[in-house]
Amino acid sequence: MKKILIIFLSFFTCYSFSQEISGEVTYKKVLDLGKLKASVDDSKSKALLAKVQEENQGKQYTLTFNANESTYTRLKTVQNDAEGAFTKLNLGNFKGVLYTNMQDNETIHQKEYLGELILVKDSINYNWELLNETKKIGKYNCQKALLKIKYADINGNSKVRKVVCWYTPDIPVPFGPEKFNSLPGLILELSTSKGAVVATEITISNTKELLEIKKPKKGKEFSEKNLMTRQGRYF
Amino acid sequence: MKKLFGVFALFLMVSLTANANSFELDENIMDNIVMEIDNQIVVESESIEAFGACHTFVDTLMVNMIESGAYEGDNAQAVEDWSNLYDVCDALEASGVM
Repeated sequence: MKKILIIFLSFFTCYSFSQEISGEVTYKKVLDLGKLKASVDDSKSKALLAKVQEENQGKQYTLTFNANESTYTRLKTVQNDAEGAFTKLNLGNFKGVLYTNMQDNETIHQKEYLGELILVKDSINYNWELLNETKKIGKYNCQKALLKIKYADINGNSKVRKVVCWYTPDIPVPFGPEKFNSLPGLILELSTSKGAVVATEITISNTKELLEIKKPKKGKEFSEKNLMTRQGRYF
Repeated sequence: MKKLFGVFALFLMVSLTANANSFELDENIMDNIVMEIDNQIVVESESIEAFGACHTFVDTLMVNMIESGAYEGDNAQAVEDWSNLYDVCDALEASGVM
């Protein structure tokens, strides 16, 4: 009986905590195109990658969330908004606003695409592998998770893209930077083949005054699959 | 630049016609003018070649990037970056760098 009561109480505490939680996280992009640079063999491509890395290094992004929704976008600061010729590229960059709704199981990515504002809708479907490794990021205890995303390269060969995340169960919300989510805690660090995104500032509020999350509505709608198929015609 | 060249050529023709009866044009002056026009045409065609070269360079670059797996299968991002780099070429051309 005691056990049941303890389980019930911990579930209730966790549930009420996540129901009232809201917050804001600032992330910093640490771009590392070294691997990519090593895989291209002409000097001009290497020079372009060096320039892209230089111009997009240290860009800051902000994640705003409540218990059910989040938005992720580039932080508006004078330094952050400095535009070079290569800051508009997708390579190593996150552009636009990503809205996530866990209850509706959907993400909406609002961004400018070939001069037009679009809304790319997708469902949330991640198959994370939760690992036993732990580390501390700031005052938060973090656990490691791995995601393997399969894709076909330009020649139709099957490839795997690896994403490593450090999430903290201390903040039990399933959100994170870029389009990564669905872990049993807030993602504080994310690493891909092009570098990392690291949390630098975390503000959490457990009051009922939740932050308002705005769902992007302006733009022509596409599904992620639809957009990929459409662009596949160019190749 | 083309307009300027056109106006210059027109001005030259009108001047020559108007003054044809009043004096004989020195052959050296004529040679110099022809040389000047030739130079302008060379500069103009070099600009056009450079402009084309920027786009060709972007094409080569993007093919290299895609083949090296830079976009990890995200064709939409690759197409957009390709177009963005073309915009950089256009901007360079408009600003007179090329």
